[in-house]
Amino acid sequence: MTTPPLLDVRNLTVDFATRDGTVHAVENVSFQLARGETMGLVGESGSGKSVSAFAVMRLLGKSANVRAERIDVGGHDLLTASEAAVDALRGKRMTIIFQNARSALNPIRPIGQQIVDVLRTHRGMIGKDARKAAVAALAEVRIPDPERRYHAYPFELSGGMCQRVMIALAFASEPELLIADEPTTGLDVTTQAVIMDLIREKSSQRRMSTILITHDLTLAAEYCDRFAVMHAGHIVEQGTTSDIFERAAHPYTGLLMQATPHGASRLEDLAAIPGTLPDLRRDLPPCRFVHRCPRAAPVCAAALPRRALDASHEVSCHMPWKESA
Amino acid sequence: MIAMIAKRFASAIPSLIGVIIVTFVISHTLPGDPAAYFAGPSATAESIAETRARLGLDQPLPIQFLTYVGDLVQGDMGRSFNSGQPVLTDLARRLPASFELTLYALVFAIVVAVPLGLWAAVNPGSWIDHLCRGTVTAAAAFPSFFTALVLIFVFYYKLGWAPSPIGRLAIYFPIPPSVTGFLTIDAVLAGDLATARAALGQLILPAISLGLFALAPLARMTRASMIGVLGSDFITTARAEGLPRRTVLWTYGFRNALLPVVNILGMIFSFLLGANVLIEQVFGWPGIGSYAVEAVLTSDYAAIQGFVVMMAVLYILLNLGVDILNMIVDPRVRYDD
Ligand SMILES: Nc1ncnc2c1ncn2[C@@H]1O[C@H](COP(=O)(O)OP(=O)(O)OP(=O)(O)O)[C@@H](O)[C@H]1O
Ligand SMILES: [Mg+2]
Repeated sequence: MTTPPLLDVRNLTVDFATRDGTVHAVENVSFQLARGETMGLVGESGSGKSVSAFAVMRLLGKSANVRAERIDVGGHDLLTASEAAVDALRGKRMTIIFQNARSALNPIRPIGQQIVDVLRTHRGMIGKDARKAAVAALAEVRIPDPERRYHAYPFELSGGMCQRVMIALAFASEPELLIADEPTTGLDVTTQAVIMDLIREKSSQRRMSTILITHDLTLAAEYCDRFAVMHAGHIVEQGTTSDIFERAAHPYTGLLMQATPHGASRLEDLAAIPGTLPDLRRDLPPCRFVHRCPRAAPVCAAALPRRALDASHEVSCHMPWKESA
Repeated sequence: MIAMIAKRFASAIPSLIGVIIVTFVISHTLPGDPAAYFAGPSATAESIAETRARLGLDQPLPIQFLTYVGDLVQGDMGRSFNSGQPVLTDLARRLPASFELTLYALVFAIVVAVPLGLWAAVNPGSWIDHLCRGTVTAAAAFPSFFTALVLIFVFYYKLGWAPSPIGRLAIYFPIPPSVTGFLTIDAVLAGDLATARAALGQLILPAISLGLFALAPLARMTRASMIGVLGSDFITTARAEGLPRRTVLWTYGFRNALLPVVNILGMIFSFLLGANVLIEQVFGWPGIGSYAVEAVLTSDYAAIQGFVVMMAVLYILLNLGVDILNMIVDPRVRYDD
């Protein structure tokens, strides 16, 4: 990449102090995201996708110990920024939308008001102007009858409608980076496509970068330029969509793809990958996949390498599948 | 909304009937012979029997009960043996005194407990948090009459800051014409600020003694509620949108945290009305609490029954009030049915 990436995360590590010990939720995660790019972040439940996203947004609570070499968004250093400085970056530079949009909206505030709150904070709009802009924002995400819906409360809207409101909310501040954490889980297939199309349309209009966290590989393949595959807190492989879907190098990715021919299934349904995620509270081996890996070898006990297969394709494995395999 | 209120009323009727039956039975099995009491100290066996017949006390209990219910429906709660007045008149005269005291106590408790709970929630581990969890609980562990006696000892006897605990108003102040029944408000309405100040002065110690009682549950409830709300998804969203901290805490956090607190206000209020019984004794407060105590001590059936039935009705009205308040603050409740 010649131009600097919009998002630059280097060696992000997150531990949680809990009553039953330290959870090593994320370890040495590095990735970059160019402007306008959409990256899929996939992996089993509990692999650390949300934790990574929350760490980038600096939204993790006090029990989280977050370390990194660097977390930059649009040239702003998030790692050392003060709480006030991060507040100023949130919304404006980067924002996040969640899986359960209904609970992510204030239950006792009309949705239009909630959009106005964002407009006032980031675009200095007040009164009639803000109201008009909020109605326009609702119209833009194709909420029917936005004038009337402006006064609606989240519980009066369907899950799909709430997700549209979330998108309107996220885009109201015109951020440069959008993190969508399973934005379509729990919605029916038609609504999923509508929501994803909305996100794609809006982000390409503004050359916004998007991280799409999902379990749905089919859906993700259609919308993402690149992928990072997570397993037990590590990014085991990252590359372009065709790198991952056609030339998977990590055994985990390989099993994932075998089990989901043409990505036509969902991660939850995978019975083909043996074993379960290791207990993240224990001492973990360098490669956290080794106990489940069909290609495990003595060499796997050594420190994990990070191998660049080509300019875009990188794998953390001693025993990757051969390119031709 | 009207339909909902009507429904609430209807659903309260069975419990009201239950209360009426139970109090009737209990008050008629209390020891003591009201006929003897009523007939006076110089009564003969004959005059006692006569009194008993006059009062209908010689009838079998079921008949007495039917007569009682029939009267009650017409708003007749009988006559108090002690005062010789209709019970309804007595209660109507004394209720404002208790209400005023309870309301001030509640306001005191809310004004102290809610900010305390909020502060504790926003700053976990701070000394206010520990105060909220420990000291406040300890304060509530003392019986309220004990707290009241300590307060009187310190602020009236030792320091002389508080007026003597002899009721609502010292006798040399004119009683303002009754509008609301609340002396402080009536005095202000009558333009008599000196009386208003005196009435307020009389209220402070009993209101604090009573309010301390409600402090712990309110503060802990507020704290728990705010902590719960601050951990919820929509707060994360508000923060992710970069909304100012003030907006996140107040507009998004506080308003939501208040919902369960509003919900228990009715319960706390009736709880305080009950606790009045002791506080009124200590401060010579002419409210319904001291009336009830006196009635029990003298087997004043009509007064006891009147008191309990009135409390039951109050309780129902209070809960209705809370329901309505809930409908105002929580849009989700309005659509429930
Ligand atoms: N606050 C926390 N305290 C302790 N452990 C946590 C906390 N948050 C997350 N974890 C742990 O971190 C690990 C990664 O969780 P994370 O939510 O990132 O998974 P995920 O990949 O997003 O899964 P899913 O697909 O189910 O959303 C899990 O083992 C989880 O239990
Ligand atoms: Mg997640």
